Amino acid sequence: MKNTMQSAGSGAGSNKQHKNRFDWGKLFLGLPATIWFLFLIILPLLVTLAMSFASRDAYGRITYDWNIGNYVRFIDPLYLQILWRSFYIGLITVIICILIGYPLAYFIARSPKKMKPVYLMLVIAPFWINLLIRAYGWMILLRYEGIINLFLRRIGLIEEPLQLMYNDGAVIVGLVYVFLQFMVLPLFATIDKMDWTLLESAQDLGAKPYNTFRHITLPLTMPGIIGGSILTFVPAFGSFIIPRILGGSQSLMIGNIIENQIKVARNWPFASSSAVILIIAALIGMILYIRFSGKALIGGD
Amino acid sequence: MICLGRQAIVKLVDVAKRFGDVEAVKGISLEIFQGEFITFLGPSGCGKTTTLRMIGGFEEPDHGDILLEGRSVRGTKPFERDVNTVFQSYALFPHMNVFENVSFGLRMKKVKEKTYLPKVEEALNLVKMSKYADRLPKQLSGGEQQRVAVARAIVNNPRVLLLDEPLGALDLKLRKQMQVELKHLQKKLGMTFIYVTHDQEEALVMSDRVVVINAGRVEQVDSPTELYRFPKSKFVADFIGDTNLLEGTVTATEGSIVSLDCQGTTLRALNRAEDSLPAGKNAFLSIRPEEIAVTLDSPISKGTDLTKGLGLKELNVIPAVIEEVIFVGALARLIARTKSVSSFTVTAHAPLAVGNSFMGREVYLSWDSEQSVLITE
Repeated sequence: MKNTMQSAGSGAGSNKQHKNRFDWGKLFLGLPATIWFLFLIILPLLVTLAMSFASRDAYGRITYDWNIGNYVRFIDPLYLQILWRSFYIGLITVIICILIGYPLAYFIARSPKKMKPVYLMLVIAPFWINLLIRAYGWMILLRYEGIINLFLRRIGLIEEPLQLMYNDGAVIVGLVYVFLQFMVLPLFATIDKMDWTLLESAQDLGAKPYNTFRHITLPLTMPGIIGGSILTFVPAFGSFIIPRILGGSQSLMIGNIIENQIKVARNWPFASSSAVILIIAALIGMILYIRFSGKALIGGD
Repeated sequence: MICLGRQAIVKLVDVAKRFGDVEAVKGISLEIFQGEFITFLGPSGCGKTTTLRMIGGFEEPDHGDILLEGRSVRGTKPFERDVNTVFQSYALFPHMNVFENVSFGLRMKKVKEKTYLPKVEEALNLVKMSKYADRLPKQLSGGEQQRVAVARAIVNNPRVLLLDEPLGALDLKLRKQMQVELKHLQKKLGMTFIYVTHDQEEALVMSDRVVVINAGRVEQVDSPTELYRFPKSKFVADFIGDTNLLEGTVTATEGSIVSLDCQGTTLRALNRAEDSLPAGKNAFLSIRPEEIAVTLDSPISKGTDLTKGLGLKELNVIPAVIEEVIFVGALARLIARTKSVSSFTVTAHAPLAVGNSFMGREVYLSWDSEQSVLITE
């Protein structure tokens, strides 16, 4: 029918070219998103990629001379160590987010219908406050003369204040706090969707609560765990505000290198190559993770 | 109480359950025996599923006790009870194939693979699903999923199998087929089945005994034939099959036959209750449509022909006008407006052609008095 319509429209078309009729309506719907992605995501990424192969002269001007110098420069124990630390901080953040987020999401999903939106609102509420302000909030808590140290000294648990800030621990605490909701929301979505009679059914068949969780709940909510992990890992891996404020010079992450190269060193090409490496590392990590957890999902037992 | 000497496998003692303001179950006492197919029948929301869930351990009774093989199971969890359930939604594990689903119970009980493998195969054979062992539930039709759900439960060889409207989601034809299959399976296994349904026909087809539950209480417990023939309450008479309920006052009692005055017409009905009714008491007469004969001439003037040798005394006769003839398949349903008892509409059954020939005409409705049952509640 499509063909007859087309040949009728185009008149004499002896050679049958099966061109699908272009759906302008669909294009119209997809247009805003396409433009957005093209100009604000794809294009800047391409510019970054191009710039990562450029070099910088003494005055900070960029010349596109297509060399891999920036990448070679990155293969340096200093930078690789920072890359590794970013990766490991991101990983720990994800694990802690799962450990805190899963029970929380489960609790919300099992709450009475009336309470669910209230709890979800509370999870999202910190979002309304600027990230920077929240990070400074943690500073007030963790500082040498901060609230936590003050409290612990008051109750006589410690005599000397603890060094709570400017280390990996502080960065991880900050990152978990900031990205926890990205874990809770997808987890809630999958746990809430799960058919509760499956759990009754497992119990009915003699599975104790632990086994019900291991064999039924966990595999069925794996998509939420995977989704949440990606949503927390990617921004945690590349974050720079939290490590800047809570980590100090001892806990630099790759995001800080990029920021420094752009703002302080004015070396945009090297910042670009670092950014490309960050993106590739995150992608590789995610692919491996999905592969691995996907297998766990299908493996069942 | 019915079978003395036989110990009840499940015994409910004044079990009650409340959800917030709703009293779902208001004190049910019941004994269920080894190897019987017993059905909880009632309209939706009557408490039948709640009762089943309390036996399964998914709900804890607020009051009363549940005994499984003589031992109280109060406070024990579902996984500690030797009872398995076939859920209404089947509740098959979507991430496991048929074999993994069916073997789940045995695997959870740490049964060795060598031991459970033949058991799982046998269970799958019983429900004719061995060919589908490595399919995922979503690759199966509703009927096939239902079979897997049954296999998954019976493979554990439970003392009692609970079935919560397991055929509810199937189409009529498949449902009827599965009813017979389930009944055969139950006979073959000799397992005690407690079945929940709101479909009275299903209950009559499958059960050894039917427990009619209404508004959280047991209305009647009887075999399907007893239940149909001798309903003890208005609710049961109305809920099981079709019936005509005629209200009247008791005028006389002759043995088990009670005469009722229904707005001037005297009708007789069988009273199964042991104590006789005092005259003047309000009561109902229930007569099944298929027991009513529709004739153009009065069976009284014609004599013995239509009464099949019964004395006239034992025949109830009401003159009526056929107002409507509804074709319902094998038979037509005739709606008659009675003359003498003007407020009654009576439903009778007749072949369509006969029914149509009666349309709008004055007829006589008659039936054997013993076929009509007296109901006092």
